[in-house]
Amino acid sequence: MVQRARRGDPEAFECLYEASFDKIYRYISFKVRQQQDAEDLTQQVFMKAMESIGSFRWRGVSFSAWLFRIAHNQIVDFYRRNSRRNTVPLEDNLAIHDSGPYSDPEAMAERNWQIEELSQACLQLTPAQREVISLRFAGELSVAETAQTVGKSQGAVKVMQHEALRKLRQIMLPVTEEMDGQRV
Amino acid sequence: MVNEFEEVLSVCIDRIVMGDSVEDCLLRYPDHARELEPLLRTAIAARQAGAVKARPEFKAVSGYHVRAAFRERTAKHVSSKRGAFQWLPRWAVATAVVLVVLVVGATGTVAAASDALPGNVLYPVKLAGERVQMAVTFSDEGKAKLYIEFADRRAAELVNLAATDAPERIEETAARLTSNLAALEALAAAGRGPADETKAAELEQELARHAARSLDALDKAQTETQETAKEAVDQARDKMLQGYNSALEAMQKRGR
Repeated sequence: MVQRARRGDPEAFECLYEASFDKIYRYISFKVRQQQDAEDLTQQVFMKAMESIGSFRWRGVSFSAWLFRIAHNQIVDFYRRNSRRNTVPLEDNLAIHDSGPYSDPEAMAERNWQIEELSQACLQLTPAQREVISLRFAGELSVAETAQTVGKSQGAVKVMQHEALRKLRQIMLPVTEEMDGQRV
Repeated sequence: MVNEFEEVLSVCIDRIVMGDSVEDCLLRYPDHARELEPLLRTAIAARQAGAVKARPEFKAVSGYHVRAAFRERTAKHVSSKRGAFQWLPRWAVATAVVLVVLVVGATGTVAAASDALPGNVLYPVKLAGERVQMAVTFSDEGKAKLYIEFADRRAAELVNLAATDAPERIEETAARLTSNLAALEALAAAGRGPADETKAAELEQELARHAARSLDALDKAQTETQETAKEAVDQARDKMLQGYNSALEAMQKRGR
């Protein structure tokens, strides 16, 4: 499919778009936490991917990892351009909608609160640990894909994942205890 | 250096993503259960917090823009590579293309391609014909009608493919169907389509009829689906239902 898209086949690019859209959107939302910004950045990622797909080469990096690197770079550029946004209080910066216009407002508030808690907790992780958590849990990448995206070994990703979860557990203890009753 | 626990934790997280429960993982690794449980609960909390969905209308509109940009870029790329014909004026190339199409059409290739199914050698001709049709249709109403017609063709192809052992072709056809319906949805979400209210309502009814007929036909065809293609057909049906519903919803909103 990637080879076909590289050769300019629009149907193949559409398939790649469909397969990657939700993951990329989740990953970006997890990092920028404002709906309008998340939407703009998601579209930019696919536009960028469209422009660069001709130069994509496997070379040990999967298409997913390549796409998430583009997303990561777009987010870095975004924060560089809008450095003052970092100082906006987190509670004013949350407007992620969960399931469209018909979602339950109470459930949405609860979800936004969970994201807020997690975002706060993530600030206490190292940048590399934060990236691993974002890619693994919002982007739903495998360990191998995460390793390719961050340019580390799979072993290093597993170690960072462990360390990050241990720290998050300590910080978010009351939240996770409350959620333990819910189960997935 | 990765220790055994980090390996186990990683495996458990992957299993939870695939649907296992925390309890399943703890039973699988009883020696690590005490240390594992709080971390897996935290992983689940992180996963739940990250499970944000995009607004369907944004997804549709964004997809429409990205697809349009990709097609435009590909077209530019092709026109910049005219190579051997570069010395010819554009009108001469266009005339030559029309003549070739007429000649090919006269020999029945284009007509024969209209019945081609994915996997058939003439299927790309069928898709190319549709692209040409869309490119020379300039009104929003005309484009909306074409999207409905093309979606109907994809649905008919899915019904035919449902009894074959070709899950990949079923997936590709379902993706094309989704793409046609998403484009229609994007058009409606942008407030475009028939200017006349009656025509808009007729188009909406037509889409609803197509949706009901296609879903019914696919349900019937599913009785003959082979085991290897069952999952692909199930997913295709879900996509079909979701695509038609979203497009209808967008058209209804536009009509209000």
